[in-house]
Order: sequence, then C-alpha cells, then structure tokens
Amino acid sequence: MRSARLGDRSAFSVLVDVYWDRIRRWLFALSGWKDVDDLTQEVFLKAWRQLPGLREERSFRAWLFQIARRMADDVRRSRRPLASQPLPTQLPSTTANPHAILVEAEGRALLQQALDRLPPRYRAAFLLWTQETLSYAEIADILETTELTARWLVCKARAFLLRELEPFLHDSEGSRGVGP
Amino acid sequence: MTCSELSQWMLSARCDERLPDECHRHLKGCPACRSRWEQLGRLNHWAKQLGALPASESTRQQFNRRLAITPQFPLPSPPRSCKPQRPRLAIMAGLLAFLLAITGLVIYLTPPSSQRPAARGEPLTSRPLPTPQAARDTPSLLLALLKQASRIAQPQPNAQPTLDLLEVASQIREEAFRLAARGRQDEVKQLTRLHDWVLRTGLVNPLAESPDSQRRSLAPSIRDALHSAWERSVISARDLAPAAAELVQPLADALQQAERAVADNRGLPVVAAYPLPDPPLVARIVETCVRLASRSDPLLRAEVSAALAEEIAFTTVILAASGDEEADQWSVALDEFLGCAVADNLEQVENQAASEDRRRIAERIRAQAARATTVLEDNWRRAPPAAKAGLQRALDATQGHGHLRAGPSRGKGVGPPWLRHDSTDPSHTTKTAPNKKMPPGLSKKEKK
Repeated sequence: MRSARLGDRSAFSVLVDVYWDRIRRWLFALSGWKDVDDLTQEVFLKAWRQLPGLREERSFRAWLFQIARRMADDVRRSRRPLASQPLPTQLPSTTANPHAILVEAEGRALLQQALDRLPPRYRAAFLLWTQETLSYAEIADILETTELTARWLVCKARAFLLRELEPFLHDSEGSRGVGP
Repeated sequence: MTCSELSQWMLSARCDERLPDECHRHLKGCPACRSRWEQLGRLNHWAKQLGALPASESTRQQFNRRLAITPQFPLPSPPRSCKPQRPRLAIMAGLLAFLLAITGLVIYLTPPSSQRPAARGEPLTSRPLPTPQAARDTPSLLLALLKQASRIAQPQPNAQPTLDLLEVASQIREEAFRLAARGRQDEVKQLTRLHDWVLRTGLVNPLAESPDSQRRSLAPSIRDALHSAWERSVISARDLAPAAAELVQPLADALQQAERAVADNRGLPVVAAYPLPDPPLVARIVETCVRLASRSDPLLRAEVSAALAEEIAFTTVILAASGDEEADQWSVALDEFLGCAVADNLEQVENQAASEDRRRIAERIRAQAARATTVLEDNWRRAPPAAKAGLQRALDATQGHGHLRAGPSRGKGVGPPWLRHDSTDPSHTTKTAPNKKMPPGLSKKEKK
C-alpha cells in the first residue's frame, strides 16, 4: 500500500487484482448497468489518482468502496434508470440436484428484482453486509453515515427482502439446506 | 425472549454467527422463528451469488494501459468527515447565496468603467499589453497549461510529448465543460476549436507522418486514451443541461474523429484555431506546447519558450499591478517556466560544445528571456505605491533567473554556492551582483 501511495503502479496493480472482481460485482448488483466494466475502470483510476491523499489509518477497502459508491451515485443521477440485465446463467452451483438448481436460479432472479425495488442506499448497505461481509462501522464509513444508521439500513433491507420473497422462500424450504 | 425480540436480533446478525444460548432456546421451541432464521440464511446465500460475472480480460488490459498513462495527484486531499454532509452543504449553499447577493449589489452600485476615475496615474508600460481579462476568464486553465508547457519543455531523455499533449487537450476540455455549464457559449466554441487544433496538429498528424515502427508502438495507447477521453466526455455531458450538452458535443466528436484517424493511419486537415492576427494567451500557450512537443533541439525549445515567457511576464505585470490575488501564482509559474523551459535548455546547448553560431543564437535567446524579468523591474520602478507590493512579490519570485540576462548560464548544481542562482546570500541578486566572480566574504575583505 505504501509503495502504491508513492506512485508504484505495479504495487497498485496488486491491489487492483484483489478488489477488481469485488467492486465490479458490487456495482453490477447495485445497478445492473451494461457499462459496469467502464465504471469499474473509472473507480480504480480515480483511486489511483487520489491514493496519495488516503490517510494511513484509514481502511483502503472502505475508501475504495466509498469511491465506487460516489461514482455509482453520479452515474445514477445522470441517467434514466435502466432495466436490470438478465442474470448470468452459468453460475457455479454447489448442488447437483436439478430441482434445487432451478429453485436457486429463480431465487436469485427474484432477489435481484426485489433489490431493484429497494432504495439505492438500502441496497448498497445490504450488499456490502452480505457480499463483502463488512462490519457496520465500515459500511457507515462507505455510506458516510453513522454506525447505527448503517445497522438500521441493513435490518430494514433484510426485512423488506424477506417480506417480498417470503412466499417463494416458504415454498422452496426443504429444496436446499442452507441456514443454521 | 419473545419472537419480536428475536426477530430484531436475527435481522442484524449474520447467519454464520454463533447464536447466544437464549436465542437457541427460543429457536428450538418456536418453529416460526426457526423457519424465519432459515429463510434469512437462504436470502444471504443468494445475495452472495448475485453479480458473479465472468471475468473480462480485455477490460483489465484496457485498464492497465490507462493506468500506465494516468498520473497521480501530487498533493494529499484534505481529510473528509464521516458525518452526514447535508448540514454542511446547506451552510455552504447559504454562504454562497449571500456572497452572490453581495457581489450583485456591488456590481449594481458600481458606475460603468467610462465614468470611473483612473485608478493609477501613469501607464505601467509603453507597449500595448494583453488584457488581464484574458487571464481572469480562464485562470485555472492558463496556469495549468503553463505548468504543462514547463513540463514539456524540460530536456528529459525519456519524455513523452504525445501524452503531455493529451493532457493539454484534457485540460481544455475540462474548462470547456465548466464554461458550458455556465452558459458561456462563445468561449466554449473558441476552446472547442483550440481542442480540435491540438488533437490534429499535435497528435494525429505527427503520428500519421512518423516512421512505421514508432507509429505501431504509439498508436494503440493513443487510440485507447482518445477513446477513454471520449467516454468520459459523453458521461460528463449527461450532467449538463441539454443545451449545454449540445454545446460540448463537438469536443466528443473531435475525439472520435481523432481516434478513427489514428486507427486508419491517416492525417486530418488542420483548421486555424484562431483566425485573428492576435490570438489570445490561451492559444499562444497551447501553440507553444505543441511546438515544444515537436522539437527535440534544446536551442529551438529555448527559443520557443523565451517568446512565451515574455508574454507571460506582461500578463503577470498586469495582474500584480492590479493587486489580483492570482498574481502570485502567475509569478511562480513564470519563474518555473523560465527555469525549466529557457534556462535548462540553454544550459544543455552550452554543455553540448555548441558551434559559434549556436552560441550566438543562445545569447540572443537569453537576452529575449531576460526581457521577461526586465519588464517586471521596469514596471516596479514606475508603478504607483499601491501597485508596488504586488509587483515586488512577482519580482522576488523571478529573481532567481537574473542570470539569464548576460553571460553563460550557471547550472543548478555547478560551481560554488555564491554563484548559483538559488543562493540565499542577500548580496547575490540580479541588481547588485550579477557578475561577481568571488564569494561575498572575500569581496568585503578586498574592499577593506
């Protein structure tokens, strides 16, 4: 990190390798934009330009996601909402049961639709909490809010998604043994 | 523990966390809560799989190419607070509105210039000067371009003038977008022509005329850079009102045309950016950048730079004498330009064991560059007291290049400290000791 701050591009490339797919995935799930690759590039280029200004005590991950969130907000404000992309069909599955595969695919599609109905701030908090397993303090840092609000955003988002998907979740019980 | 309490707890906890005993006990005895807990687990599982896209190698390669030509911002940005921004924004918006109201009131109450009394008794210089308005209209652009010119003019062995000119075009574009947002369409049109001129004269045409091997190595990175710039322009235009976006559309079109021309390996016809006989300062700086980028001979680079230094000195005089707050920045930029663009190149000419003709030309260039500091000194002597302070600061900033005036240049790190132009010895100034050949202490002894 220190070398990258001092202008070492190869050191920064290592950081890019670590976070590229995560940022790209988060932006895609957050927005479903077709040009998510371009936006990902812009996020990392901006991070590179501003890296000397990053305080040493601050988490690089939270800082990077904050840049991504701000840029996604900018893009969202500058364009009309687009219909989300169809989800990729060739996802790796952990189960060999064809019925369970179908249920999972449908569940993901329904979840994406429900996420699209969530306000962006709730969606961002939920995805950071589930996909990135960030703490509430880190989510608060990224969303520029308090830890309590971050916790509240995640809880509300989960409650909303549970309510929206409850019929399907109820029907799919037993098709897959996820959970405690 | 009740179902409602457990529900709140479940919503904020991760499904792979170890449950407290109290929750365990409740879950064991409550099928509804158990089912809800499992549903939350399934929800998390699906959410983790969302957005798992196939990797795109070409995007990464494109990013790596862009990273290679993107500079870092040198200064750390101020720390940002984690508190919500809205109250602060509201306060700033209020302050801004207040300042605008005050400014409007002042403009309303100020009489037109024809009725105003002359601020200063005598003209600061006998020759016609460029209007300070030119510098005030686009101060950040002019200063940024001047710094860029200093960078291009430096005699570096591994210089990449093409990339520097891309940066010049980028700065013009940014300024055009800023002005378009403020509805200043005449200036945007001028900058658009200038932008087009830089792309064609500085990038596309020299590349089309360069040798095959050089073109093959440079073309891909230039094409990528032009494409990225086009994308950024399109995205930025979306933030503007439709009329303003239409105004900046030619900038994006020019980038696309340039990209196609580079891809097809052909040149583009050049249209004059400014048909007027006396182009504005911004055009003169940009033209200097392009000329510096196309010349490798340090003598020619010094010659081009000396002509611009004189122009910059006049603008600095006008701004300094009028007490403009940006005059200090101009003085520093002029100082840097004199050092990097003129003095360093002339020094390189001398180090190359130049012929007599080249030495004579070097002397002429040195004299021309010295006029830049002479302009400041002359105006300082003739300025009314109110204007002296600003001019003094400008003079102080450029005093380090007094050695440009006569004789061979003193290298930055060559010779004893009392002969270096960055010496802090008070006796070593352009006015008192330009030709001293001995340390200040020894000269005092000699006088005794």
